[in-house]
Amino acid sequence: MLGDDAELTAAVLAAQDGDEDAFRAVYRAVQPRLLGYIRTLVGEPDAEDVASEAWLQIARDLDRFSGDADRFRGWAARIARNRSLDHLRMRSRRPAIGGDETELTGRPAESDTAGDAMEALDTDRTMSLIAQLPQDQAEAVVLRVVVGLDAKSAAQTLGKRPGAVRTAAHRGLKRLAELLGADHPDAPLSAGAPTPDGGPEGPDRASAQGSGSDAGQGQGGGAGLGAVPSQRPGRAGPAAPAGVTPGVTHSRPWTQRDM
Amino acid sequence: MADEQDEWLDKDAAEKLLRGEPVVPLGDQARDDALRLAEALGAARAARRTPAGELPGEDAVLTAFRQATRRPQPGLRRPRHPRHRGAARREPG
Repeated sequence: MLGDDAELTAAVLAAQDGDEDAFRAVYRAVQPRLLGYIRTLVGEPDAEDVASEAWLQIARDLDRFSGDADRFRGWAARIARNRSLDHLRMRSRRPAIGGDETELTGRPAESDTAGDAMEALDTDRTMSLIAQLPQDQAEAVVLRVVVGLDAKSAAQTLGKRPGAVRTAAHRGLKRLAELLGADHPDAPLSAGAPTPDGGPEGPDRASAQGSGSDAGQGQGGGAGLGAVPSQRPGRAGPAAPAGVTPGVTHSRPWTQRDM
Repeated sequence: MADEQDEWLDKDAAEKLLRGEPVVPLGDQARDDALRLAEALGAARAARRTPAGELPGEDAVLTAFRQATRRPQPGLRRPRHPRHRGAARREPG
């Protein structure tokens, strides 16, 4: 696999020269990141299809690209974003299909080992929490953390100023911290077990909840949830395109044929 | 209350967490919250990793790559060659 940015940069160059193995390596290195981003935008059932469309365009337009690994990820993410927004636009024009909710609940585990499965669960859980953030915050966080862009590249991908993307990511992390406090699975186990704060190793995840944070966290999370009414919880979150771009997803009239 | 609790999470701390760097604020509660957030972001970061072997969709993407390489669209002369890099940068549509 492509372990570092220099290898990815070289592979992109080789692929631009027609090297199929290099392009395969680029795909394997970048596709998981793009898929994570696309899931945030369009939700689970459609993400693979949208990713395919994005890669068809990447393959077609590859020789128009110029730059290093980080730029390539940003360029690919921008294509993924455009295809995702196209997809949401098309979907909003289609009549709603009954039973849509069942499609949106979780995705099958693809991991073989128990360790991978556990980690995938943690990853899924975090991604579903991120999907509950307002869309600009979710995108900023995912572009930085999952796609792996720096602030400047993320801003270019989104067509915004770096400062605006930094602010969105900062707010997103604050909100995510609240959600993590409210969504703490270990809370009931440790609620009755007071934990010494000055323990030599510090509190672990479970005892963190026991060290007096329950009441405050609960209130904070509750108030926060109430303050963001439009987001659906869980996996369904990303499929509810509540605010991807105001021009696209808030345009309810588009769901009726506007021409 | 909630405002006070995440005072530690200022812009600098957020930037470090986004980069995967450690953030260890003062205070037990803040430290726990920072650790929990860092763990969650670490789990999200794991989504970057490439699983072993072929990925879904690989065949179709490689087919598209082959077609783009061998049969450039008529009228558009853009053979794949590094010297063309930067010659016609365009924003992806």
